[in-house]
Amino acid sequence: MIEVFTEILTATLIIMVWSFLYRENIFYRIAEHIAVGSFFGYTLYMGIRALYDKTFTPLINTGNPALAIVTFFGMLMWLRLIPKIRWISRIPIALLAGISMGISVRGAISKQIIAQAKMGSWIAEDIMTSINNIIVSVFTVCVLLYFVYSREHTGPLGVIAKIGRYAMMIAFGAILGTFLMGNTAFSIGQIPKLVSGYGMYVSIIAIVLIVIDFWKQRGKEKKEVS
Amino acid sequence: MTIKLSLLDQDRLIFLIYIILIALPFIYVVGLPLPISDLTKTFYNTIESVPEGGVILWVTDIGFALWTEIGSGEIAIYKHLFTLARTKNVKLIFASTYGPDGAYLTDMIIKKYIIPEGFAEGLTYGENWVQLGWLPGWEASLAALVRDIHKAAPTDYFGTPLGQLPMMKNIRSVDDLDLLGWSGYYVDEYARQWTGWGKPVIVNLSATTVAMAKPWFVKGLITAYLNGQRGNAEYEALTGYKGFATSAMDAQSLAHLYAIILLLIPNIHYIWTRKIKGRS
Repeated sequence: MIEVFTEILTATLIIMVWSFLYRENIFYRIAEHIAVGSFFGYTLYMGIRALYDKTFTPLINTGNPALAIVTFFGMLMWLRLIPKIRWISRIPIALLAGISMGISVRGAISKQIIAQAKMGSWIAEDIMTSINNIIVSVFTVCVLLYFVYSREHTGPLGVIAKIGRYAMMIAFGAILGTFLMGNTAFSIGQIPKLVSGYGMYVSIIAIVLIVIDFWKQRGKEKKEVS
Repeated sequence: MTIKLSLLDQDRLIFLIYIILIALPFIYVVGLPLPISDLTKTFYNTIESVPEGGVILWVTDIGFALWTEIGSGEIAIYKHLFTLARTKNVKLIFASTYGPDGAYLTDMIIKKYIIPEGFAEGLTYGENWVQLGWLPGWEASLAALVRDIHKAAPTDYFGTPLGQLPMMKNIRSVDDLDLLGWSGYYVDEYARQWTGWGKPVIVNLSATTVAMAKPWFVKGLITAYLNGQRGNAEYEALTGYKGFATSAMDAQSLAHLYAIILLLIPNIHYIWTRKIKGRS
């Protein structure tokens, strides 16, 4: 029985969200609020649980001073709610931003910039990799020169900048292609819930309702025109 | 007879055709061929080459939103990892850093697929696998995980202190790991913290961000990645743990074909009308 209810509820919620593709409506808004509310509720629960398990319990059990300091700074964040001393909450936020930045930069310099800028030999084991290496090197220079604004893009610089622009266009096209693949997967993932089991009946009811509304809207538009 | 469609109706028609197209393969199976790429084979072989008694750290950061795209492959990965735990005594550490839903999904996969389907037969929690749960902090947690797991996660998902779990007594940092992997949407944050340690790094990635993984892969910093739902389907075929990604491939192919047509028609129409205007 629960499985039947789950199937119907899942299909109904999917159709409520997808009804936005037809037009803005109350069902879409309800589904949107349910999604945001339930996710926020779950995140809050897990946040409190993580705080309890990973900070408070070890703090009580071990008395680790580092955990006490972290908890203290975490508490300071709540001072945002008191307007007079709101400024104090900026201290833990600044600390958090600084630490995060420090961790990111450490990895970024050595691995994201230096390691990726290192160029070995163009000649690789197979011809395709060698061609790829040359293309990457040439296009990198061209794209970098495209962003040189201190000189007018004429003559040789103009040609190189144009190649750089085309290289970026190809890259953006490839990114768009993978974006498309990812985003179609999101909708494809919902389809089985709409075309099989009890979800199919929900889909049929939704289609009938949309068709009725469509003809009603058309009738209204015709009346307004005449 | 000519039919004039408003812009709104045109949009609706595009969506309607799209929904019908992606729904069709689930009603009538087309069964288009699916060649397996070298990349997916490398991904598979990297997991297979973990030595006897080795340790794998797997971070599930896909969340509910990505579940429909790469959740199916994630289940296949878990099945593969647990099979290695049974056959090669490989130790498994699961965690999540990006959002709390990752920890939930880890637990759900193990309880709904791994245990009922017999992949955890003969294995014991705490001796063969450990779930660290959600470690808030994302990149900071990722950095901490490779330096000192016990400090990054003082307790596991169920609140047990890590020191009390037999498996974790000899596992402290990246030196004790043989493979690092994650599943998710982002690349740079993980690659920045996990590459360069001399350990293979793999990722089950959303197709949306595959372009971000490419530079890391070309430079050999990331060993292999699964390219979205397509990569997941290939991996399912390789492991034999077929799931939703395999059945979704026909719908993907039709959707891509439709997208190409949608891109071509307006452009051809634009060039055509410009030509006619030029003549007149």
